[in-house]
Parts: sequence; structure tokens; C-alpha cells
Amino acid sequence: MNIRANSKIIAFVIVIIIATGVYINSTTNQSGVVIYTSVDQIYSEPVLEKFEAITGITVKAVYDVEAAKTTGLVNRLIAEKGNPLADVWWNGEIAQTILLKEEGVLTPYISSEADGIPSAYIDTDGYWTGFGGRARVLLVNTELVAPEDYPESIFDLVGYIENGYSVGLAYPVFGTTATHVAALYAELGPEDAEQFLTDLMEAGVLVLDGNGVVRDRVAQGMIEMGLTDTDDSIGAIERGSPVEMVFLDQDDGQIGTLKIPNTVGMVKDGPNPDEAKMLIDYLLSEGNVADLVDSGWFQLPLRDINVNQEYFDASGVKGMDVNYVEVYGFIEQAKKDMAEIFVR
Amino acid sequence: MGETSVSTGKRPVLSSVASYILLFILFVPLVQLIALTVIDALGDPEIIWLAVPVGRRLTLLVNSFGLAASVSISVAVLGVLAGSYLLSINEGFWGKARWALMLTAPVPPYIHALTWSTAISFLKNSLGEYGSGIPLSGFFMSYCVNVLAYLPLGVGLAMVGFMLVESKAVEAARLVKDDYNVFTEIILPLAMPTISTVLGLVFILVVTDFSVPTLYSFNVYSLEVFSEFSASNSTSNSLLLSLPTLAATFAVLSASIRGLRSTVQSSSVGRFSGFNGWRLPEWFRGVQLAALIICTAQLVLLVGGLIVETGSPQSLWFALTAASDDIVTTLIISVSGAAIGAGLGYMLVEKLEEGAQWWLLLSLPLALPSSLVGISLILGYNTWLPVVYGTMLMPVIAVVTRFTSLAAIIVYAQKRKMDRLLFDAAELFEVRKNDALMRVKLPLQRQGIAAAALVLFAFSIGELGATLLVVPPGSETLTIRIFNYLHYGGSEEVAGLCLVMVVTMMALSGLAAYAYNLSEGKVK
Repeated sequence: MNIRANSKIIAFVIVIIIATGVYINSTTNQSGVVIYTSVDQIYSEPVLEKFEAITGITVKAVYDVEAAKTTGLVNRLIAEKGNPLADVWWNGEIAQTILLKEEGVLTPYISSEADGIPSAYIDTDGYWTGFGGRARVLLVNTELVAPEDYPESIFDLVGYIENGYSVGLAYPVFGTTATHVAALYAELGPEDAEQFLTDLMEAGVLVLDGNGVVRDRVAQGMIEMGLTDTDDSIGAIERGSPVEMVFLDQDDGQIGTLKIPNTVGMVKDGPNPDEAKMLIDYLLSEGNVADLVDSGWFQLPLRDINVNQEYFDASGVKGMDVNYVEVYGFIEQAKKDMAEIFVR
Repeated sequence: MGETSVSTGKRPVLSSVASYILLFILFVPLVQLIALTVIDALGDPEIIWLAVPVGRRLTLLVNSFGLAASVSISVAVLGVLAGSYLLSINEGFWGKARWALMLTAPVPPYIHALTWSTAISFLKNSLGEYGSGIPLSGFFMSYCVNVLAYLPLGVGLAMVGFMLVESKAVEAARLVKDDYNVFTEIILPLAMPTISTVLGLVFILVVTDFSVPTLYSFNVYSLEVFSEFSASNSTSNSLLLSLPTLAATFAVLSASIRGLRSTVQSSSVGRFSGFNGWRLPEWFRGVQLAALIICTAQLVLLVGGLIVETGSPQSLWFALTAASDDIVTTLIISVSGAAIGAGLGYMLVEKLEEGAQWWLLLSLPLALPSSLVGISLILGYNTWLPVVYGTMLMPVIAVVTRFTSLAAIIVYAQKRKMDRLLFDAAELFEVRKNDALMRVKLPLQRQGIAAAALVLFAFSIGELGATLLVVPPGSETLTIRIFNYLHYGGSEEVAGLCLVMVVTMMALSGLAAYAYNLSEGKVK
């Protein structure tokens, strides 16, 4: 073995490690609060910047992306559980937050700013708090479908497809579409829900790569209608696309549409617990909720807050009468069933 | 898989403790993930069945292999045709800008897909009823978009392959055979190591990707792996599900290197300079030109589409300023990743000649979903080396872990063209320490190492799945921002940021070309 040559290589490696150590020091010795969020950066970044400006506390964020198919930050949090980097988890939906509670990633924190939020949106043990959100909606292309022809129920969609309409939905094994399916499992029972989704598949529903793609296909007129989220839909409306949101199942005796609250929780053993509580308080504050409604991320404030809903009146939307913990209980089964039906 | 060599009585310089330590660091998180899976499987033997693709899963696997095989063969063929045509032009625009076709290599295939979808949708709407037959989903669209997305890699590596052919052999053959026969019987076989590398790499990249096929509603096996991960959040289940693709990757790599020995050449002196002045049949020139047109269309449509979508210089400037920190972060990660990965790849090459176990290790980071690689890094570093975890070193380690195998394959493919006796002789007769390494080995392999670094750079820029899981809080890469805007629907921002990627690649390629010319004495 060429020991002298090896010593050069080892010396080189040591220099690299020392240089890295210097860099590590320069990047880690900063106080502040670390937040992981699945909320679109375009909406969440201004909120965090405003918090920084008000409190002077530096916020270091990690943003999730839809392309990671919900295997991103949630699994990062679970894997980091033994030595967490994050202090706060802000989720654009609820099921994954309940998973994090089950996995022991979160710790209870009941914020005084949660006053007024209905108990259905607050974890009974205080591990998470819902604070406004979105709803599932049918986005319809107004150039291709006349208002009198809009479906009224999600269960009408099978017939619409059989009558020649093209209807899209995102892969129901990921994201809010998976949560929607799990809610149907909770509402209808697993067998009826699975049968409905099977009927949709067999009728020829178009399975697309995410709610954003559903929105784009409807907006471009490539399909006539599609199930997506209100925030996606508003993005298309703001850009002047010929689309309209239809809230399904709003009449008496119908199940309503799924409301999807944002949730926030405190990470167990996070490095900055005091700053984490301040950030959670800020996120839950009425002022922040009003800001998020203004920005288009929230369509459902969940509280009686004086905000201007530009595109629709959220207060009149009838939600599904489901318990979110029960919905979470169906998530794994629903995802596996949907993979069997739609990924083939 | 090893190759017989003359024993010089010395061990290669890099086959040392240091190289073992570095390679250990490279692979240990993945090995730890496997160990955890074995423990889980011992506790619940039922999950082992996940590794057996039957029924629906078998269909998905067939879909994946069919798509990957057709795309890789098409990319290799088009790359050879277009690359050989470009090397026949020494003057004019293409004479100077032949490498421009590689500029779109770092743009993620998903962005290619969105651009082509918009273009085809526009075409379909413009043609009215006549356009109704144009498909917007299914295998065909997935195939076309993947071919176009990987063409820059195919053309680039094919040109590298031709340029590594020894000119003496070619000139000798041209004395006795016509140019077309020299091309098919001499040059192609001699360039085959690099071409088979293209085949193998593209196959592996396509078989592990689900982003493009799912955009076109074409279900593939990698989507099943992600579905399972999403449903169960179990790395063991996902790893077991990935075993068929791991086996395929190993098989493809093994097949890619089989037969390379026949292409061994004698020296590094006088590399092939191009096909300028060659008399090739008209029909063949036509086919070459058609391939070049497809490659050019890919570049023009993508870059043109991005420029149109960006809208104005102000939008581009907005995208640039909003993402200035991300650009710096991306450059740090991709340049460091390319440099470290190419170096480690070079070290790994020596190991590859020691046995099949190294090829299996090499297959791991390529075949496993990027999110599993990311999780393995968290489990490894956050547990055993927390001082490193949460720093900018982690995303560098992520791209190095994911793509060093690519570097090793490229360097290995080039090395197999060299006469091993040269290396052994250099080691035997070296007078001063490192003479063999610095004066023989590295100079002979510099093109391969440079090509590996460039490919690594391109892939590092576009990496998403593993980077997302280990990027330090407060930092993000261009790709993460692009995909974030993508969900929001900010097409101007997405297009602007993709243009930034292309410009970055252009700048780095220009610098690399300048450095190469400098080292060759072509520039003072």
C-alpha cells in the first residue's frame, strides 16, 4: 500500500471535513424557529415573513411539493423523530397530521389563539389544531358545460361519464383526493364507497397527476369537469380561465362536500419550543387567518371572522358530517383499495 | 465481471483505507435501510411477498420495462445518428454549438412533459376536428416525452463515445473499406461502451420514474412503490416492492458492460476528430439529419416554449431575483456533488473490477426511489452523525449518493476502452509517488471523468425526491421552488426558473469547454 499517497488523500479528506465544519457552524448557530409545511410556498412564505417582521424571530422553513406525493415532509418528520430539526408542523390538510400524532412526532400544545374554533377541528388531546382551510369542489369548464347541466351530487358523476362527459380526478392514492376517498369510506361504509369508486373507474373517469393537473385540464378545455380543491380552482379563476366551482351534495339529505382544515402542531422535543409556541399562536390568530383568506389559500375560516370572500360565500357550504380521526382510520385501507382499482 | 491484469506487486493507489472509508460513507445508509427491512421481514414474513410481482403488479412491471426499453433504445439510436451528424460538421453554427443540444439535460422530464402537453394541446385545438385523433395520454405520449427529455443525454454521451475512438484504427480501416462500413463495423463497435452506457442509464432512469407516465395516465411500477409508501409509510414495504426494479437495474448494468472487453484499444494517442469529409450514403445522411431535426426540435420547442411562457424579461428578472438564494444553493449542491461524485465514481471503478457485489451496491441508489434514499440518509446521518445532519452538506451527500453510480458507470465505460497493460506498466515503472495516477491514469481518463462530472451536475440540478428530505431548513433548491410553483399554477415563474436552469447549464458548459481547451493548449 502506498502509505504516503494515502496520507495525502486522507489529508485532503480532513481539509474537506474541517471546511465543512466551519460551514456547518456558520449555518447552524442561528437562533429562530424551524417550520416544516406542506402549504404552497407562494401562500406560506409571506405569512412566515410577516411573523419574522413582527417578532424579530428568524423562521427557517422547509416546503413540501405536490410532486413528492405526500411521501415528503411527513416521512422526513417521522425519520427525524429521534433528533428533530423542526419545531412546528403546518399542514395543508389533516390526515397526515393525525398520522404524525400516532407516530409520536407531535407534542400537545393548546394555544389561546384557538378560541372560537369548533371542537371538531381541535384534537381532544391538544396535539393539533385546525384553523381554516379548503373544500373539495367540482371545477367545471363553463364553455363546455351549461349551468343547467352541472352535476349536483358526486354520485351523479358516474352517469355523466356514461353520457359522454369527460371527468377527471387526481390519483386517489395521494393527497387530498385520498383523504376525500377516506371520508367517503367513513360516510358510506367501506364497501359502498369502494363500489362507487369502482363504478367511477369502470365508467372511464380520467385519473390525472394531481389536483393542479385536474385544474389545468379543465381550464384548458381538455376535459369538461374535475374534482379538485377550492384553492386550486381559485388559481384558475384568478387567471381568467372559463371555469366555475360547483359544491356538490348541498341539498337536504345529501352528504355535503369534504372540508379540509389546515392543521398546525408542535414537534415533540423540537429545538426551539418557546419560539414554536409563538409561531403557532401567530398562525392560529384571526389576523393571520384573514390574511390567508385574502391571499386565496383559505376559503373556509372555520370561525366567525369578518373577511371578504372574493369568489364565493364559504359560510353557506355544507360540509360532510365526518369525524376526522375516523377518516384517518380509513386512510391506509382506502389508499390500498384505490391502488388496486386505479393503478393498474 | 473482473478483468485479468498483470500483477505489478503494488496495489492501486486509491484502493486504500481512505477509499474504503469514503465508499463506506457512500453506501452505509442504504445498507442500513436494507438491514432494517430484513429485521421487519423477520418479524412479519408476509411482507416478503411484496417483492414478488404478480397479477396487477406484474402488469405494471411489464408497462415499466416496456416503456424503459423502448425509450432507451430510441434515445441511443437517435443519439448515435444525431451525434455522428454533428461530428461531421466542423464549421458554421453547429460546428461551434454542437454541445448546445445538451443544455436542456438538467430540465426535469416533468417540465419537458408539461411543455409538450401545452404544445400538443394547442395543436389539437388549432386543428379542430382533424386534431381529435392526437393522443394526449397513454403509452405513446409517455414514450415520446421521455425520449425527448433524455435525448440531450443520449446525444452528448454518443458524441463523447465517438470522440474516444482511436483515430489510428479508423484511418487504417478507411484505407481498405468504404466510410459507411467503417462507421458500422469499426466506429460503432469501438464507441459501443459509451452507447451501451446510454442505453443502460436511460433504461434505469425511466424505469424508476413515475412523474411523466402518471401525467399521461400511463400506470407504471414505480407509481405502485410510491402508492405503497404513501399508504403504509413503511420503508421496508417500499424497499421490498422495489426489489424487481433493483434486479432489473443490476441485470441492465451487467448486460451493458458485457462484451466491452472486445473494444479495448491500445493507447490514448490520437482520438477521433469527427466525420468531416466522410462519404456516407445519401439515405444514411437523411436519417442522420432527421435525428438531428428531432433533437433540435426538442431544444427549440422547450426553450422557445419556456421563453414564450415566461412572457417578458421583467418576468425572468422577477424569477431570478425571487430565487437568487435558491440559485446559489443549487450551484453549491450541484457543483460540489459533481466534483465529489466524479471523484468517488473514479474510485468506485477500481472496485467494480473486484466483483459482482460492487455492481449490486452500484445498482442500489439507482433503483431505489429517491425518497427512500432520502429516508435512508436521515436514518443514517441524523442517528450516527448528527453534527452533519441539518447542514448544507446533506443535500450534497444526497446527490452524491444518488448519482455517483452514474459517474462510475461512465468512467468505467471509458476505462474499459483503455489497455489495462498501460495502467499496470505505469504502476510498475513509476519512479515517484503518484506518477502512475497523475501522469498516466488521470490523463487517460480525463474525458470520462469530465463527462461524468457534467452528467452529475445536470442530474444534481434536477434532483428533487432525496434533496427535499434532507435540505437544511431555510434553504431550498431551484427544483424544489419550481415544483412548488407548479402546484400553484405559476407557469410564468416555472418557465422563468427553468430558463435560469438552462442558462446555468450553458454557463457551466461554456466554462467546462474553456477549461478543456485550456488543458489541451487550444486556448492561451
